[in-house]
Amino acid sequence: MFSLFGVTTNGLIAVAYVVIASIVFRGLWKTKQLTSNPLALATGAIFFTCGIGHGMHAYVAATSDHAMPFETWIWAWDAVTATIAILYLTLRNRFPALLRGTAMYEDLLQRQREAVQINDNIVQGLAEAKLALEMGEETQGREALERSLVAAKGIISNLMGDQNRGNALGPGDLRRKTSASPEKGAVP
Amino acid sequence: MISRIRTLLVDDAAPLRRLLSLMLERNGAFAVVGEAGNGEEGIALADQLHPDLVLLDLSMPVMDGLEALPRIKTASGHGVVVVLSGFETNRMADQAKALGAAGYVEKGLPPSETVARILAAFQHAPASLLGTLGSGGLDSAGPVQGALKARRGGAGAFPLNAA
Repeated sequence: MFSLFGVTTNGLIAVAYVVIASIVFRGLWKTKQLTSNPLALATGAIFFTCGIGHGMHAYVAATSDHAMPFETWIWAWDAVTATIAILYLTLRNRFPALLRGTAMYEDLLQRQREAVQINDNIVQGLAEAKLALEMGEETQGREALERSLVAAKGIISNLMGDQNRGNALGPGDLRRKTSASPEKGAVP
Repeated sequence: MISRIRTLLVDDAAPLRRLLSLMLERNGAFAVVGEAGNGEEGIALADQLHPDLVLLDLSMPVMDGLEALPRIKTASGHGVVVVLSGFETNRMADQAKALGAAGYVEKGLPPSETVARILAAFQHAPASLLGTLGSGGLDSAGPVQGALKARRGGAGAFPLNAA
């Protein structure tokens, strides 16, 4: 049965949700995170699909010729949802932080994993080499240095990414900011 | 009667454990009584051996040092746990100490300094430990006794044999 209340609340929700979804998708597009930030992508998708769903509810509220069970309660709850949707939309200035926050969290986890790997494979090996040489255990020292060097090169190669996937380094990419062996007294 | 600090090494790098064992034995204050390659093995050996001191690495397979630390302390009874790690002190020391470590020593220091810092942390061992190191614990002969005297008297330096 036609319900102005149902049409209004669901219409508001539909518009708000689709706008929120478009803001999230646009942010992901601009920051090139469409394929690398699945959490934000899913968030945008939830808003979009729910927006379409409530748009359909608005259509039903406008065109149906018989009442739904618990119709009053349904429209009342839709009023609550509409209020929250509009409130959420007013927070759109903080959406970039939402996108950045999720990406930063993933970045931080990745960096921590890499740090632990570097510690395990390089720092530990160098510490062992240093201790061995200081104790006069030259053979063990040399072996530890060799292991650390091999491990370091492997980690660097992994961090640089697959050369066959468009990550190849080209002219200019290897330009250093300072010399590897700065002159005595020079500040790097 | 001269006693040495019964020490359990918990570190997944076997070559490093060998060096640490050599360093500690050369110093004379320590007797390495066991070695473990991960936190889980460390807990089992601490329970079995009741060492005076546990040198504990952080990054290990199966169970890492932070996970194992409280359980090793409990399992060893009166044992002192000193973390020996490649992570910088300002990054991990607070967490380790909050979990019960008596000290935190970074890997890569010269042998004499490493031993000095381990002994310095050991000086904070509970008083009940003194009784387990023999009734002649205050005999001035030997580095352990010197360390114990320094801990009781609050003196600064204590005799060390350079590694």
